[in-house]
Amino acid sequence: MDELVGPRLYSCYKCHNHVSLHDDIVSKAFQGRNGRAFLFTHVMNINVGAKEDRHLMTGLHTVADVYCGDCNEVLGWKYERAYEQTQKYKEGKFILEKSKIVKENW
Amino acid sequence: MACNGVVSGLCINDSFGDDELRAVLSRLEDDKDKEVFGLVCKRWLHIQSTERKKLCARAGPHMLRKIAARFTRLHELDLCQSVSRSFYPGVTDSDLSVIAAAFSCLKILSLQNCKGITDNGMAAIGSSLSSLQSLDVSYCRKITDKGLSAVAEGCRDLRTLHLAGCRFVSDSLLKALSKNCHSLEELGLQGCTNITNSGLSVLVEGCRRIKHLDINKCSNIGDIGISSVSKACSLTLKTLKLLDCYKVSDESILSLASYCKNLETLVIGGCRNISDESVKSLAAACSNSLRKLRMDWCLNITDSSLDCIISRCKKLEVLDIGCCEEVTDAAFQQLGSEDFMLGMKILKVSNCPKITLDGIKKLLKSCESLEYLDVRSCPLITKAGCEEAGLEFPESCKINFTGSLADPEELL
Repeated sequence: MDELVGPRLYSCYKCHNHVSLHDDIVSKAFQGRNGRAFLFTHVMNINVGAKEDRHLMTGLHTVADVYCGDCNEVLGWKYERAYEQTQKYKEGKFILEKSKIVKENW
Repeated sequence: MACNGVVSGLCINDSFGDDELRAVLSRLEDDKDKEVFGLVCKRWLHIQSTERKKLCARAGPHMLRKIAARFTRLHELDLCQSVSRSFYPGVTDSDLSVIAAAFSCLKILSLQNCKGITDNGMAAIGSSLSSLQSLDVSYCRKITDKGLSAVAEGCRDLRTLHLAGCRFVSDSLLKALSKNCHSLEELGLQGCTNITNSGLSVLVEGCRRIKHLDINKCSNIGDIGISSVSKACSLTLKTLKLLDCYKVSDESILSLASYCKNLETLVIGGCRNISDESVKSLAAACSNSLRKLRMDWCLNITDSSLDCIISRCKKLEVLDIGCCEEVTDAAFQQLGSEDFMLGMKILKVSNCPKITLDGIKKLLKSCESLEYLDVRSCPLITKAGCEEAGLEFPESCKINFTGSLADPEELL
């Protein structure tokens, strides 16, 4: 009897602000600062912070921290630019840490 | 006039022809006055409406038809939408058909982020707007070579074309532009990753007057394409943007140095194969013209070429050498010396770990016009350190120590 109505949403773990759709996941195999993280093509209701050039495990990147639009908790980051050609596919996409998001009623 | 209580019996509308009324309208400076002019009667409304040259609007089809009916002599129309999910469906192909049919004098059309429009809308523009000089369809992601070629064939006086984010664009469109639009001066192809060297070479066979070329992120482009551009547009080229075109190497820069003495803006950030020698040649060749240089992520660049740039390019206003990790204070050695003044406004040295407060001190001595300095991720340069050393920044200068400030527009 329990039917799924509407898209499968992820919310901020703190304030339950809707931030992303399960359909927008590119990969679940990423490593965040504190464990597993997902790569999304789109996120919503968030604020993007200042850009930073950082040497990550996969090379030089420009990243910007991503904050919940309501409670300002850091949820992950956005890949703005990638130095290595093999990492270019990440440009414009978002990492949300698994520990910072929760499934909203599904 | 009526204030004397004397009614002359002459009606303005009978005595004044349209030309005289337009002359009166042109002397009104306030927009409000111009609107009031249009309230007098239908004839004055028509004159006011047809005098209007520029309009910026967000309008559905019904309103668009009303606008088209009223402002028939528009030269410039701005229907840009916002980046995020804006009003649905936004500007559509049928709206473009209305626009194409109604605004025959249109010279400038802005449709940035109008994600709903397709090649059909472009075909409508190409078939009717023969006076069009400037078209901006950046981020109109559905558009392909087919629609844009129709624009090229129909709008032969095209001077400015912005196609950033139109990822289906390929060499075929460049061929159509080369064939039809010989007055082309400004072309924006940022993110049009399908274009290749041969496309660029064909483009500049016909379009020899290009002033501003943006091929940021077009990662297939290499030395062959850039060399064709520099030779063909040598006298006119002022702006060249090659962000993250990693195949571009010293050969391209040397070609620019040989042919393009009027180059003002060069973006080669991320072009990792570029080394000091070619940059030195460029500094010498464009010493009187170069104003903006962005070479962040050019990991081979060292003090020797930077020293050249700083000492020779007297008009330099914007310099970005972020992540050029080999750079030290020695790059600024010219700046410390007496009477050496540089009108630099924006400097980005983020992630250059070898630069110290000493380098910044020299910089401040010679650059009194500095407006923005980015020293993010430079471990030896901190706000506390600057204060302790007594460094004095120009009054309106903003310093980005920790990344809390947004980069100014000029850096891209």
